[in-house]
Amino acid sequence: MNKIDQWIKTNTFHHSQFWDLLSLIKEKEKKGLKISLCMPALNEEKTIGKEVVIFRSELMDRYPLIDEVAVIDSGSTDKTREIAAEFGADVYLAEDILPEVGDKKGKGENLWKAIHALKGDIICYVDTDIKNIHPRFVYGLVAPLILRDTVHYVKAFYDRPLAFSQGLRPSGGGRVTEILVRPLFSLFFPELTALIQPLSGEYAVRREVLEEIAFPIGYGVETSHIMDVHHRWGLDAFAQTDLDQRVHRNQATTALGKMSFGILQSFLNRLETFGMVDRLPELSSIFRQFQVEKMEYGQVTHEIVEEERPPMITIPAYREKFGRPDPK
Amino acid sequence: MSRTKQLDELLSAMKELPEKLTGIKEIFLTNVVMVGELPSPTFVEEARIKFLCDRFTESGLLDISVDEKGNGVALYPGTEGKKNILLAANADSVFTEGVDHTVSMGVDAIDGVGLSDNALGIATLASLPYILDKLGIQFKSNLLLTGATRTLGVADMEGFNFFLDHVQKDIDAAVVVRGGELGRLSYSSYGSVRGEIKVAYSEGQGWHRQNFPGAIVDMEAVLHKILSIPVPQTPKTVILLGSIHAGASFSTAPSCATLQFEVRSEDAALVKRIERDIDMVVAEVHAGTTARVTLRKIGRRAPGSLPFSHPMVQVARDVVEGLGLKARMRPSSGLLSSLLPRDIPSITVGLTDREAVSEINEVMRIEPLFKGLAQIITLLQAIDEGFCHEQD
Repeated sequence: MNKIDQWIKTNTFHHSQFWDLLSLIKEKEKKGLKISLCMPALNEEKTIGKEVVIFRSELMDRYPLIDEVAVIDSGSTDKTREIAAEFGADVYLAEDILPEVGDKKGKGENLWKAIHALKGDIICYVDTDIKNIHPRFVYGLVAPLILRDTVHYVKAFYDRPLAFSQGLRPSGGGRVTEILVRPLFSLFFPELTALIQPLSGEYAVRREVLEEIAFPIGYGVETSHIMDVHHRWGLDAFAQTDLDQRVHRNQATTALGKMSFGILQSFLNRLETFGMVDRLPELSSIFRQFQVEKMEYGQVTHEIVEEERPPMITIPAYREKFGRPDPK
Repeated sequence: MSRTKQLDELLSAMKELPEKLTGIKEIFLTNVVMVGELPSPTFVEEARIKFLCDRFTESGLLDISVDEKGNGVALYPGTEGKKNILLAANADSVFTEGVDHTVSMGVDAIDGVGLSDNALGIATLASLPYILDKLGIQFKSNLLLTGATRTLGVADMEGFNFFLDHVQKDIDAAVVVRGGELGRLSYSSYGSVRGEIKVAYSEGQGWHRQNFPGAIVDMEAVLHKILSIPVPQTPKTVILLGSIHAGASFSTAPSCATLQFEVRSEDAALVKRIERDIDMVVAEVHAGTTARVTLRKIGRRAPGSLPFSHPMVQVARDVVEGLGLKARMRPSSGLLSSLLPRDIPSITVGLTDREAVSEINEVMRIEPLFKGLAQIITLLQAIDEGFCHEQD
């Protein structure tokens, strides 16, 4: 049996394996772990209330599995923050966290700043656009970390239907994974193809790992995480959990193009950092798409720069808050 | 202490309940979402019943079971256990599995399909043991919590009737929970008969000929004659035309048309009389066309009612008005129609204010829910104390 088959056999789970929350809580308490739930948000007033209510009531009040529920907001202009606070989440504006390092806009920025703002030994990230939210989105991801000390990073995967005008389409989604990331991984990091949905926005990670890795603030954050964790800790640090269906908004192909452009920037930068390619030309930050209107063909350009935040351990305020030594 | 004073004390304590209940808001709303997002069309209620029974298990209830018709039942034991109070809600819904059951939640309201009929009722059953434990409320009587299946449409109460026919305990009183609307009190049920009228042409009867207008024309004749049947306003009576189906496109004459209807009345004799009139309509149209016109009767219920002066009705009014609400009395066509003919003193209450009932994106107000829950708890306490029984 090759490495990938072996890993899939031992490190791939289904959320139903972790239905016994009481025993999970017992194990968590025995190990003295604290768990934080982080929901990065930007204008998600339609779904945020339900997510907060369900996670707080099921996983804090009824089964005390998680220790805090936090929403890290990028500056929503709708009622996202108001609704999240009304239902009991700790709500942070990303720009208020570590103000001395400035404010950058992007989901990765929220994820990175959450490491400083939240107190958990494990941070579970869950996107806020999920329509069929359920406690399994959290306990399915934190369980492997609680139960197995060798696992550091747990990814979600789904049979995910997209919201569709006539009900639900039975399969689909993961287009960027299948036509960009999976081919790239197959070429350069075959082991990582074992991750069924490397771009899923739901994952749980140990603090010791999160504080050591850099965070692209845009589209490339999930891809670079996986490459960095694999580079440093190997495939055995990963696990993945099948969370069944995830219902969410579909994205237009043009939006997926921008996403792919950002991911490619992060990917190529990593290849260079790992010494896997040399003489990479200077990469353009302009992504070009085309549109036609009244038989006029025009260029649409987007500047997409995958800025990165350094590992959190390099930030003095973080080291002071969590009592970490200077890595230098 | 006199009984009147005891009841007054209960009603006085009730006024503080909504405030106390806001502390379990997240628990209750979570159950509403999780129940509401499980499709539960009639005959396919397993997922909702499983969820409900899981909640019963988590709350440590006794005798948790699912019967042959899928009803989910559990016992919340009383300190004495001499009497049994049924708290029931229908678990089935008119919305099929293909409909998007996503529930959305804002600060003030929650919306999604089938919340008032009756995800909120099932969520109440799922939450009540937790709520009672948190509030430290105990009953002398047993509470029999029941998620009833196969109640709507062609099921015609098959599931709930099975439960009532086979339940191993004597039920002394019953409260039926519906999502909406807050202030609603039903203590009587309509008598009814449901039927399906079908106009069908077979091959060779001309429906495929050019210029043949199709079965809709015959169904129009049926409708015209049904609408001519005299229907009195008192006692309350209605011929409800529920659905009509015929044809598939602009240019194909339909060979078949179907009408589903229900006759409802507070007076059983009137139901009988209108039923006979409809039999005549069907026979008359059948005789005048080459189509086959048939009537299939799907279900029949006897009317039932508590007297307006019954202590349960009086106490229920006191409870609703004690919460500053206006009691809105109206007959029910739901679970009450199985309970009252069995001489079980029963009442149906609503939980909250609602908008766009039975539409996609039905909206339920969150804040009034706490009054709705306070009403149910107090009514159960009043029944438990014997304030709602005639012999008491």
